[in-house]
Amino acid sequence: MQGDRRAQTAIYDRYYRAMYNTALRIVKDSATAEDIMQESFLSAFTKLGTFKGEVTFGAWLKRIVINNSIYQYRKGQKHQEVGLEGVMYKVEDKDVTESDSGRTERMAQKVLETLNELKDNYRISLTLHLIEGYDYEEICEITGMSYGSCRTTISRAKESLRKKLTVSEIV
Amino acid sequence: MKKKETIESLFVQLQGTFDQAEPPAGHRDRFLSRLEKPSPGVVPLRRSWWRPLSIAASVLIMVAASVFLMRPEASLEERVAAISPEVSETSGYFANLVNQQVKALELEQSPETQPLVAATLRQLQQLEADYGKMEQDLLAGGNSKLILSAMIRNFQTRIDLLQDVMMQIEQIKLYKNETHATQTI
Repeated sequence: MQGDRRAQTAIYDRYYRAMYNTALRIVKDSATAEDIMQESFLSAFTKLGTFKGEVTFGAWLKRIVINNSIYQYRKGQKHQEVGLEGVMYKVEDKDVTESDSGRTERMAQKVLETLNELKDNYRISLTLHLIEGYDYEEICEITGMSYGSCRTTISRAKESLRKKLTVSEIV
Repeated sequence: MKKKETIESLFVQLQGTFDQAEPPAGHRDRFLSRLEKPSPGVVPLRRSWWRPLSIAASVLIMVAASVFLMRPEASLEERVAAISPEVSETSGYFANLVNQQVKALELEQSPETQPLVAATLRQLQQLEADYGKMEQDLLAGGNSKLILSAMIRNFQTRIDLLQDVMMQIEQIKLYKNETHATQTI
């Protein structure tokens, strides 16, 4: 049992950041994202028997995180409130050095901010498509949309994102 | 086509740099303490149990309440049956018999027998009312032996009455035919 704990902690340390960010990009609230991320780890540990190894563990875990995030997002739509931290985390690290990697990161930050300005369903489908790398079929399955409407949503979302990025001179 | 490429190539270029946010401080400790607790289950699972459980509980309460409320509504016959199954069986048999005879009586209605049939039905109603009173007495805890025998006698009276009346009707019919016969001659 003790070894189990150590292994579980190691898995957490390895994946928490990616999983937290994935959840955050969907639900936009840091406390909710943390809760989803941790619950997903716990449920992954208890459901480990159903993990067949068809995909990597990380991909399997990410799918749990995404499903839980979408579920939470839908619930949150009923009573919406703007999380203060969700706004704050963007402002925090402004003093990145002007190194090359810093530049890419700032660019990614800008892109994320622009994504957050989009409509919710645009943001979520683009996040799944462009950042998490799911294809149309998978996104349809995750969001429960029909193939046609999910295709249209993604292409409209891309167009909308492109316009916004052109305005802020990123593309 | 070119626009699409630029968006997609931008994301390819930025691949791996999107995970910049850190969970709120202390997340690791919170996770470890969650890990120690016997798992409270996945978020969706834990929440989605609420509704079915509350529905089940309210249904259960309603069923229990209706059972309690319906209890006193149990028919007189049922309660009599609880006191004396034999009586309720016998009375069921008698009631059947009486009903059959009443039907036969109603079929015999004709201008000549009409007053007799009406009077009989009135008497039967009176006897039935008496029977109802006896049932109440029995349930109220009166001398059950006496009341039970009275109840049986009540039924017997009804049947005797019906048989009497049927015989009288037969005679009336007979008399009527006879007079007809004499008249035609």
